[in-house]
Amino acid sequence: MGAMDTERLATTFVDLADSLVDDYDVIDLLHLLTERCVELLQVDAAGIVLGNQRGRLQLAASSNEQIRLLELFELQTDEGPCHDCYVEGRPVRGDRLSSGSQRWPRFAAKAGSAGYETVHALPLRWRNATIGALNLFWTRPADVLGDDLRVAQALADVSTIAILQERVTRDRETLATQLQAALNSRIIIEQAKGVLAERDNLEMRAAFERLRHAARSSNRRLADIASDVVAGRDDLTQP
Amino acid sequence: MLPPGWPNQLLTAGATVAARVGHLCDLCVSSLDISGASVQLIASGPHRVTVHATDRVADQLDDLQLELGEGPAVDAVRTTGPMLEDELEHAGALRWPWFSPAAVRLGVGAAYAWPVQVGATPLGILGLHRRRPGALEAAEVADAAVVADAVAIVLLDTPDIGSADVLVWIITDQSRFRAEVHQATGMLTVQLDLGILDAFARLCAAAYADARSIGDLAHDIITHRIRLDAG
Repeated sequence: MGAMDTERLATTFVDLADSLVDDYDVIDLLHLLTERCVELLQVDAAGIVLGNQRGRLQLAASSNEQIRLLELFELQTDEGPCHDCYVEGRPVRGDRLSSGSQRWPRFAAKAGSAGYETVHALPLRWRNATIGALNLFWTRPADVLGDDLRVAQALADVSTIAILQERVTRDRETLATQLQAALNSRIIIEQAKGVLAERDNLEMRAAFERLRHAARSSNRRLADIASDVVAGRDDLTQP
Repeated sequence: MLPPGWPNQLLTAGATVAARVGHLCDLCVSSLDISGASVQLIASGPHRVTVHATDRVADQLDDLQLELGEGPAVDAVRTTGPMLEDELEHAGALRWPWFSPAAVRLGVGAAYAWPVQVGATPLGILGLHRRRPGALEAAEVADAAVVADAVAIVLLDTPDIGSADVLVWIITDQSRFRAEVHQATGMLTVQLDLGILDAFARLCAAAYADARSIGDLAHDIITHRIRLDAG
């Protein structure tokens, strides 16, 4: 675990888990995350950028509001380790920024003049997509390796969960939609029970068991099986 | 708030689907804090037909969503849930980058949509809009969902329930939401060789003819006490 404070690490993840269970402000939580990155990973600055709906990166939170740091995030809409990390969906690092860079000339010049020597970008992953990146800056030659790298990626993953979870819980519309979808599923299942009961001369409970058995053995959702039954497209004749 | 006994107004609203839907749209405008309403019928594929719009803007909002393939009505169909965008200019622009600015240019600040469905079968969309941005009150959201349910019964429009008396009676009968009603509907699809919507309409019409609640008749059907005749 290198120089990392294990107790501090545990406290951080306990705090984050607590926040995720409660009602929380996602931006606030992301700020906390970037601050903890600075403490735990001994980086000098950290920031989280997110892709907007048009695929452009926008800053969501940073460990400090220093203008020259913020500019570094702004700039990465076009070039830089965050941009590459977001596009490629994998960690990207940059060293010796003060000596310039062929890959990111504008970014390296800005970073060098802001006093940063090393940068590391980790993807915010969600299933097969990358929704943004966690950016770590050092004012010295540095690297994140081994356990530190795993902690950094875990912090990035917690950010992802916080962002996606918040969208679900904040929105009364989304909740209403999820509720309605659940209700619709239930209606279709009841209809399918009726179809099976009449067609195969079953009690309602037996009809439901047959639906559930079919769903489990085919690894499909109950509502999908039920919808096939209602449409007469099923092969549930025998249990 | 919807006025007491509002379903009875359908008795004198006219005998066509369009007239009845029009009345329910007008009811939304007079009862809720909104500027306009429309109902679109879901035809095959991506096609939608606006059955009624209370004003030109409501009509244009429907057209825009058809053209652009995005907006609250499009999402309401996709998710089968209500879509409530309180603030089109900024928040809405993130969700629907094409629709929202166009709606704002028409002077619309907020747009909402409810799926119109019988059971779980989608039939249409109820769209509401307001010039001023801001959230609807919880009671208004609930009222709009109730009107969307009534629109669904009107859109069913089968020979079994063409008369206004039957319509109003079904809309007023809350027992139609019971699980047994859905089970009985499923049974009737097999017994009478009907689609799910026609089976539901037949069940409702039979309950009306017997002057009993839809839920009670459904119970007798699934317990094999009553069997409906074909045709």
